[in-house]
Amino acid sequence: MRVVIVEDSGLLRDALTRLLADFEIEVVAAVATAEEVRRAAEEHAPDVFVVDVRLPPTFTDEGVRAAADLRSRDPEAKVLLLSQAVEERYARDLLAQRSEGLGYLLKDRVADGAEFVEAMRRVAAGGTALDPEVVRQLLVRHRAIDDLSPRERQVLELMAEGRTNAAIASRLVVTDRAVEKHVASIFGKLRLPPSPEDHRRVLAVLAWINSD
Amino acid sequence: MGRGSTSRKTRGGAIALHQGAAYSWEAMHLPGFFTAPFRLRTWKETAYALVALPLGVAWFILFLTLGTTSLSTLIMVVGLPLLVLTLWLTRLASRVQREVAGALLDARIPGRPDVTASADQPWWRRLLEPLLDLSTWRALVYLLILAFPLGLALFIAAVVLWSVAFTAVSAPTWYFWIPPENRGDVFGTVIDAPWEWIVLVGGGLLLVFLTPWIIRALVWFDVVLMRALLGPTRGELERAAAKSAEQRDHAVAAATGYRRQIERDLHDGAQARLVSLAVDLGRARRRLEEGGSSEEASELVRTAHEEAKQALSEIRDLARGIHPAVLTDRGLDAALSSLVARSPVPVSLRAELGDQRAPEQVESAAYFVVAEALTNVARHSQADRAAVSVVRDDGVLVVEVRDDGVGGADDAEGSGLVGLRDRVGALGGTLVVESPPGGPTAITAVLPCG
Repeated sequence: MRVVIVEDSGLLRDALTRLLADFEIEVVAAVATAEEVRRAAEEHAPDVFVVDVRLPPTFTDEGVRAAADLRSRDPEAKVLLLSQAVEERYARDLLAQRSEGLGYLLKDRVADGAEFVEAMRRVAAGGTALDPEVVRQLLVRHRAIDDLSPRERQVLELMAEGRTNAAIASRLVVTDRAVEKHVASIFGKLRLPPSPEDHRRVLAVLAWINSD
Repeated sequence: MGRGSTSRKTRGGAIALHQGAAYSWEAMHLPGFFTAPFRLRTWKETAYALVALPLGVAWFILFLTLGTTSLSTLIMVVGLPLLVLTLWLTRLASRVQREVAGALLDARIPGRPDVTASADQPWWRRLLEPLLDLSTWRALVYLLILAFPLGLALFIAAVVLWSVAFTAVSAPTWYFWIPPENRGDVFGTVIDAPWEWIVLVGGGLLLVFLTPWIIRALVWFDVVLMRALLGPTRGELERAAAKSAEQRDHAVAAATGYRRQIERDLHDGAQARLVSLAVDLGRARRRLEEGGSSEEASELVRTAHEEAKQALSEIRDLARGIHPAVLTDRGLDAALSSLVARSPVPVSLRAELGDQRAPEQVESAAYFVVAEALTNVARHSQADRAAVSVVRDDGVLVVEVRDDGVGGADDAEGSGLVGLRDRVGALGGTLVVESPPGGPTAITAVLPCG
């Protein structure tokens, strides 16, 4: 897998490169600004971009705009955004267009090497990876969520992060069947027709969130 | 902008109302009327009435001489400096007059707020400033034209009324000591009939009780004129209020910007360092768990250890940037020493701070002026040496940082100097940056500290 990193802090750029090297992921370019990323995209056509939300010159949401730009130029571009603090607003804006091949994680998640790499792989494969923190913020905004039981809410959050039923089951230490039952119940309560594909379920959840 | 100026107007109005309290008469009810001669206030007003004349005469002679001389020589070059001097003396005299009135009367006459003078202006602008200042000219009108006649009226009223009153009241105690043939000269007629005595002593008594109110009325008239001519105009008050509102806005903006800076520093410095450290520890752990080479793992742990120490020192620096503990514990002198000691450029320090500590926010502002200036010296000036001087003198703290570097220090938007200017301005101080291209650079902050 080939990756382009866009991160203004040299420290984090190096840490990410070291981490990905351990997982035999090739960092084909590591740049510091949003301008440089466009060139890197044309030059390397990476499997996934890892982009810091805050980039020079104003250190606000240059990374979000760079991600939107990448995705509008190349609908196939996969972007994993990293943020110091999660802003539900940014996630909502990005997801409003398309959630395939998009990730939005807290920078802290980089520290959980294996999980971070797994999320990145999911995004590179066209899936979605949302930080649990983002998901929580998205969900609190939605009142209909009050109808869900605490367990169902947990399952929905994990689903929204882009996890499979099996992953959810192992995470919550329950059987796959139990998870399937919860999922069916969630879709029932949210009036969403169930679908066999994991990835589609996430899209459905996000579509519902965005329909607000 | 529109909203801001409206609210400032309101604040200005509030100040104007506050200072416009009337000269108090102490309700003229019956007991008040009879106790007036025994009140301190009455005698302070009498004292003012006596002092007002010499003051008025002094102002009249001084400003008549200076004014006519400077106006008649205005066509030559000497007239202008003399006129400027006259106007500066006018301000001084106005202040003396207000102080005397404030000390002897229950009338605080506020001075003209400092709205036009600004340390940012060149010295000659500041020097010539009274020429165009309406309130200085108004003060001159009072001092030159009104002070003398008012003083005279007050003096005569006080002296004549009190002497007549006391002479009449005390007449029974000394009248009979006068040789009989001269008794007619004292009151124009010989007092012998009982009704004549009743009229004399009764009239004297009446005058004793009336005089305080006559003097008070005259003083009131003077106070009204002083307020109108020596006090600030409404426009000046509004401008002063607008200025302080602006300073407050700047201070709020500075504080917000400062918090944003702290957040940035935290994320880019300590947080990035800690993430990197966590990544390396995670990698070391995987090496160990996977039974890989322990040498590689120990190398990673060593790196992580270094990063942990770096993070600690960054957090310490950041905390010091927010508020240095030594400033609270040991005061400005000690805090300056530690600042100067950390500077990579050799710095000499002169701190004369007196025995009493300046208010906390003044110390803090002084500290950050020096800190920011020394940071600039180290980063941009290419200086070989710098000098820091912090001197407390006559109600102000003067902070000065000089270097022998290349100059061209920029206090445009976005520079740390702007934040400092706002911080200093919020305390009513001024910050002047002199840094011509080619150097040297001098940054001077003057902070009022009571």
